[in-house]
Amino acid sequence: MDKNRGRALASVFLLFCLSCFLSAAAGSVNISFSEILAVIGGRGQAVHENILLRVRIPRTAACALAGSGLAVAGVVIQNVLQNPLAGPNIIGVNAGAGLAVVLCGYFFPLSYRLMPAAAFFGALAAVLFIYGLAKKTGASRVTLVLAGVSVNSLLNAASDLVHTFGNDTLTSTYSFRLGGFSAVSVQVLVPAGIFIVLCLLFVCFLGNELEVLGLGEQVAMSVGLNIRLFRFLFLTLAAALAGAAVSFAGLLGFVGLIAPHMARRMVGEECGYLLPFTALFGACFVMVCDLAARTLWAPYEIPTGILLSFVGAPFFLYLLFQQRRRRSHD
Amino acid sequence: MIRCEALTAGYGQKPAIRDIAWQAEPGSLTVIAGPNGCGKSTLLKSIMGQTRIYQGRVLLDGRPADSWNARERAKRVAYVPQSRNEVNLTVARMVLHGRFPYIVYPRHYTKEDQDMVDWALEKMGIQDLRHRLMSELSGGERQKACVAMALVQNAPSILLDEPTTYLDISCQLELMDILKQLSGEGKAVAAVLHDLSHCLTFADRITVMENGAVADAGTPDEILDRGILENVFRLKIRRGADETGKKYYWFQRQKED
Repeated sequence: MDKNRGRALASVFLLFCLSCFLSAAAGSVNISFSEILAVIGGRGQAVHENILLRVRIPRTAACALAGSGLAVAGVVIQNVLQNPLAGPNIIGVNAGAGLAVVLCGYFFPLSYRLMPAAAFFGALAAVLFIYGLAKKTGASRVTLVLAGVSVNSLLNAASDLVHTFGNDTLTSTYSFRLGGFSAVSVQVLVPAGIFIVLCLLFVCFLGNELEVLGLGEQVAMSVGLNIRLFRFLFLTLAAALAGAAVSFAGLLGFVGLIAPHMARRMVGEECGYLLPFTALFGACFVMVCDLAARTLWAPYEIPTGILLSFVGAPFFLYLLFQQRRRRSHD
Repeated sequence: MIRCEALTAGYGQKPAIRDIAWQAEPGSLTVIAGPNGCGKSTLLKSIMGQTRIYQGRVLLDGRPADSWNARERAKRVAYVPQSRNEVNLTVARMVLHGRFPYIVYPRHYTKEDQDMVDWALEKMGIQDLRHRLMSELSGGERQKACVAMALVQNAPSILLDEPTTYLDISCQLELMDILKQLSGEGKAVAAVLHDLSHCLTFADRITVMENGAVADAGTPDEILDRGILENVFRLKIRRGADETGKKYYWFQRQKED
């Protein structure tokens, strides 16, 4: 068992390295592996150096950070809400972050450093609202998802309203709704990226607690977990991860749903394997989708979020029907 | 040792159990019996701090339960709830989480914790299942794994909420033997059971609950002699004994007049 999971982890790490390389190498100008090494060693051509350092590497880093952040946020939210359908984009967490970013852009245009913080508070408000709703009403898994969908719509409508009355600054960030990396800026990426890495490390550090929480409220309490404290802490971390990712990548959908499910299938629920696998798989998934979005229809580039939705929506439906089938068998 | 004094507890605004005086003693298997909805599970949850307590108190090892922090409480009483999430963890990993109250910096389970898991799996006779996923087990195997998780908590008291539900008769009897064995080793074991035959056969003491209150408590013979089970469940209970003196019981529904 451990050997298989170790192999799965090693495989996804290799896939991650390959995705990083492809994401950096492929595009309107293809750059060979040796040229990438030459640029890293400071001996590359100026044109390749410019492309790699100013465009490709920041974009690859943005894809990897957003993918891993959203994917791990998905694992955390699903464990805390005990609901495998609760992806951050489905229950309105991304939309909450999105609304906060749009409001931030409206009231404080060009204040990039405020955006991750605004996204965090927006995501946190949305996730706490959904959690409160689940707790208060004892909503079933599907009801919670439906409630999340309506919260999602409401928050997106609010974002649209701000856009409608917004100024030119907001118009330039309109692609944010679609989700993508074509306009990613290093100014926003660096603080958000640091935030994501720190949160990922912290979630991994609390892996045992997350696993115990996944055993259910009664069991977690009976083995001495302070569930109020850890639920709040985990939801805060999930909001921080999703919010920071949304602040520079826009409303990317389904990463937080697909990556955790694939990871659970490959390595089970033991967090020592699940969290790194999810983070790496989420990063690979977004990098590959972004690569496809900018190369398949070249010279046109479609927003990565659109491609993710084309893959993610059928996957979500599959999960939904699988849940129903399982319930009817029980 | 667990002791409840004048305990009134429940959920939201309404108490589900009232004025409960109850205790689980070391070296004894105490069974809580009563009709559906009488507050048996609420009593166990109240001891575990999972309900709202309106009046009275729960004492663990002579101290109010809420004066222990969550981990210290878990070291004193283990709890096997009626239902739990279906998880995709291996049996060994799930059982290992029973050592969670003992985990200290740098927050990794130790060799001692792993040894406790080996011991508990062996005691429950499920060593060969250690690498299997919980979601792949049968009901009986899963229940044994849950009891193993409670065992590695190494708490002097163990509470079990309907541990025999969904198990076939062979598994039920095996589990009851294990509980009896644990109480024989000095633990205070308390279980909510629906099967009156098991209650009367295995319990050292029975607490009968009705409408959120304790209707009676005593040894199985005392409870039978006082006819309290018959009143509460509207049953006629007859007892017999085989040639070795082992008692058995049969039950008949009382006819409405």
